[in-house]
Amino acid sequence: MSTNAWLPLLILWSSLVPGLIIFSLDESRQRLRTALNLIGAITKLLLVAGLIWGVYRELLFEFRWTLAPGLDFVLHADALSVLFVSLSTLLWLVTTIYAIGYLEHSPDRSRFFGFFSLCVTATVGLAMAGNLFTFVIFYEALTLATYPLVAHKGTPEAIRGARIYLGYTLAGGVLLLTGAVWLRTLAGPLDFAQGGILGDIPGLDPDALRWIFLLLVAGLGVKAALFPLHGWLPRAMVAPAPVSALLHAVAVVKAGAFGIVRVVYDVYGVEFSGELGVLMPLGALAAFTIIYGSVRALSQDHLKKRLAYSTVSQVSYIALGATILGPLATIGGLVHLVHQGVMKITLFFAAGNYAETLGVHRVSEMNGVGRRMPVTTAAFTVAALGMIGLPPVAGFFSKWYLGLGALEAGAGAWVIPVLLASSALNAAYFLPILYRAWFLPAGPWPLENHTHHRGETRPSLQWPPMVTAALAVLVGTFAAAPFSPLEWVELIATREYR
Amino acid sequence: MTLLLLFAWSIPLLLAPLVLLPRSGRWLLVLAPLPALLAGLTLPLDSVLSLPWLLLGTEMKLDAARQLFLIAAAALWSIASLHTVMNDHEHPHSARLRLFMALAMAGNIGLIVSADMISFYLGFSTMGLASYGLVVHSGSSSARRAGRVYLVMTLMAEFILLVALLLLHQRTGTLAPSPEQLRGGSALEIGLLFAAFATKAGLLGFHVWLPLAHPAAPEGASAMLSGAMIKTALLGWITFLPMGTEALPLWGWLFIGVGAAGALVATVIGLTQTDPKVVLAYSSISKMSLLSAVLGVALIEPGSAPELIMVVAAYAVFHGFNKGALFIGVGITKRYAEHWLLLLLALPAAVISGAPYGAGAAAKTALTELLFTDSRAADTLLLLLTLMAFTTPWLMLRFLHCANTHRGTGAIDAGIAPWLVLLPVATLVPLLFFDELSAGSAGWWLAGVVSALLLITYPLPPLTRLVGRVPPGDLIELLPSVRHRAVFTRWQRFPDVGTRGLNRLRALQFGWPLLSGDRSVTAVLPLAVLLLLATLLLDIP
Repeated sequence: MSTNAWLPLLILWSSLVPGLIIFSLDESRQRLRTALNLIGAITKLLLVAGLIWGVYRELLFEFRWTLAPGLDFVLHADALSVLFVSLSTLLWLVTTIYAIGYLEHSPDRSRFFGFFSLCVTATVGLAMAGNLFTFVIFYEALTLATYPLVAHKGTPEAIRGARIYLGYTLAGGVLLLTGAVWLRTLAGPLDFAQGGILGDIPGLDPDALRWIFLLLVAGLGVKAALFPLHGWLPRAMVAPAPVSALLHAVAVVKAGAFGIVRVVYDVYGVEFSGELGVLMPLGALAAFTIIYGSVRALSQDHLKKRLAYSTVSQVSYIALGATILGPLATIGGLVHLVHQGVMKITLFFAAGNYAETLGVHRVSEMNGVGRRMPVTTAAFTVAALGMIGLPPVAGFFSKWYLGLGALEAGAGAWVIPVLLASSALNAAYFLPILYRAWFLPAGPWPLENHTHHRGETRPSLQWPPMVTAALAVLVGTFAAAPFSPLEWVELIATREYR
Repeated sequence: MTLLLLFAWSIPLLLAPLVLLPRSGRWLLVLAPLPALLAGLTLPLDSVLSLPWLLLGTEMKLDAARQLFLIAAAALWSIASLHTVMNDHEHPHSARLRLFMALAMAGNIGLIVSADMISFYLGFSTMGLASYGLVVHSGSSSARRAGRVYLVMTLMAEFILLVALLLLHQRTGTLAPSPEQLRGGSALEIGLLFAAFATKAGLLGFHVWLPLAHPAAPEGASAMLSGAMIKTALLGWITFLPMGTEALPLWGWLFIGVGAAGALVATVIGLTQTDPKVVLAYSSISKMSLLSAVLGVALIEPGSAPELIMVVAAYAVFHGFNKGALFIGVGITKRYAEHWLLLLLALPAAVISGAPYGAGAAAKTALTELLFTDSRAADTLLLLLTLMAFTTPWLMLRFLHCANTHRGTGAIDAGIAPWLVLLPVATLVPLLFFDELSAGSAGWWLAGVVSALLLITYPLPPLTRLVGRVPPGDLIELLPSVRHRAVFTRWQRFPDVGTRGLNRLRALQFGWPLLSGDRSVTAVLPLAVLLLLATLLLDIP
């Protein structure tokens, strides 16, 4: 095998191996566990940096292992996988640090960090999957690796939330598998390819392709929390904050959205999907989900639940971008994969800090929290303003390109009102929080849990939201600089439409 | 050197967290606008700075109009910051006020020097949102309500502007379109640009936030809101409308119609007010309406646009300085007992009212000379100017009369110094921007002053009965969901039958399920945006 085949494998192993070792560690070996976690995360980051450089120069990274004739396990790195891999890797590092601080002194940490590593392994695997078969394997693995994390607290509520999660995602997995097998029998073994593959194969039954599209999107839509398959996401907020961050920003929801992007662009091809007429219904559903999630978020008093509905809404931007023809909409949707991740993880880190430090779980308890925890709340503020779509925070640029793309494709008349309504609704459910936090007098906290530190909370909890909030501002402020997410996504779009 | 254009707004932005520091940090707020002042005074005209790595590629420039706006804004920010820093000892949240002032300053200056859409929008939205912190600063229930109305309308304006810019970018393919490229915009695009900046300028119908928000803010902040921030609406129109390259008679008449109506209606409503800051707010609406009407003429007659724009800029500058001096002056007269302060306060009021050989008179003359073109648009404007030459003294005397009733008790201290500096700056510096001193319409002005003084001395009962009848924010009180329940009664002069029907209607609207208090307001925003777009987006292909 050449180096170019090793790199994807090494990236996979850099979290798989530490994860497996951590499982076998005794609960008390905290230092070793932390060291393994960080070594794995940093190694992965370095490897991914190499991958970015290689893919930028159009080197071919592929690992292929034939299980049976016509059934290949393929890891392949193209510009799109690099986008998702680097997002997951970077945020995984931050989340790991956060989780180490968050779970200080709590039980079952070996189990937790073991599954945590597996979860990222699965995410990176599905990002680099080279065909639908490999994708499905990692997609299912992700479901299984996340379940113990959601149930981690072991309370009846947590177990119930995790069961619902498992029910939804397994059902989704079945749909996805059915779709993938059907497509396999119809069109033979297919590797993902930029520009799509099905359009070039003659003699395929368009109706069958439409049904397969429905199956695939329904299977992926569960994780992407498309209406009406989103029910598990608000309930999964019983999980500890780092897990929520992982679910919403790094792994699960993103995996669903990423899958939809793969199916539209690299299996069907966006132009061929347009000819089949499957984009319009998906776009309409995404638009509806955007509004629906925001409207539901309005009435949630539980902070994490409000954030969860916000995710339902925001992740559909990605699907919406994928359904509008033209490179600008592609850019808007894809870049939101990164932008939403960075902003939403900040919000969840902050929510976790409030819960962990002050026992604040509800919006109505957040009065004056900005005075008590200014750094965390500043990070929360930046991310919330970004969600509304105000520059220079990242979210603005997603909206800008989605809007331009919609105008370019002649779909402005319905997409732009959706974007605006979403912005307005985001303002309506985020700004009252900010007002409470900064302008109202501080109330007594439900459970002040912070006595022996000098800062507003533990450093390992305070730094991650600062870093991700700064990142959300930086990727916006320097959106046109080389290797910014936006520039990278433009690279993907040019390769997709050439 | 052109990097000064970048520093002009990035330094206030970077200093924003530092001004929170109670001792050394507070003075940083005074330093923050100095790079902008330096840029305005030293950079050669038409300096350009391109930073392709910033945002989506940033273009900054300093043309003649921008230079005027920049110098005025920076100078006014310096003095208002100084006033704020020297007078905020007692207030418990003074650090927060400084933070929002620094942010609003960065946005205000940033949008003045921006030539591309993204950085303009960045400045516009930063300024708009940061000002919310200025409006609600006092924390009183009226300030909170003013803040809510302000925030809803500001966000709406920002969203509308975003759509307009998207359309403009899609059509021209560039982020910094040249005046030639601006030609040929669709009705939708121009309409959205009109609506977005009309909200900021406070044109009739879009103005309801202004009489609530400007008086609610602390005086240094009110000075900036009225003196510099609403003026940016003019710059927005100048930047994104095809001024001087395309004749748009219909739109021009819309500007003139809405502007003229606003100029007069605001004066009349202002006369019925009792709070001096509210009178000033209505006076700002009136002047901004006048300037919008002038831009309307520029839209109808592209040939005269460049000169008109320069006069509008100079007019905005003179008005901004003096309005700032008046807003701060209200605070001064409320604090100190001295009687001669009212005489000093009368100076900027006289300049604004168009006293002979003041900047107001010079501005009016400069404007009048450009309008002798024998077109109907210009004639309409001349008529409006004549009317206002008579009515503005009324409004200013009404203001002085109201200010006189709120006298303070304190002894003079150092806190008055920034205002004493601002007074000569406001009354004298703007004269530099006009070619010649002039008596203006001295006759009309004198008639206005004399008649107003007579009315103050011998009040006419039918007129005095109108005082206090119209609540600040006028139309907003008729809107059920934003209204304070208590204030509503002030508009209620309906016969019983009508009231009953209205009460039933109110009961319906207050019965919103799940939506109460704060939330009913915030729910109005998306609905309003949707409604607006539903009507406006009809002609997108």
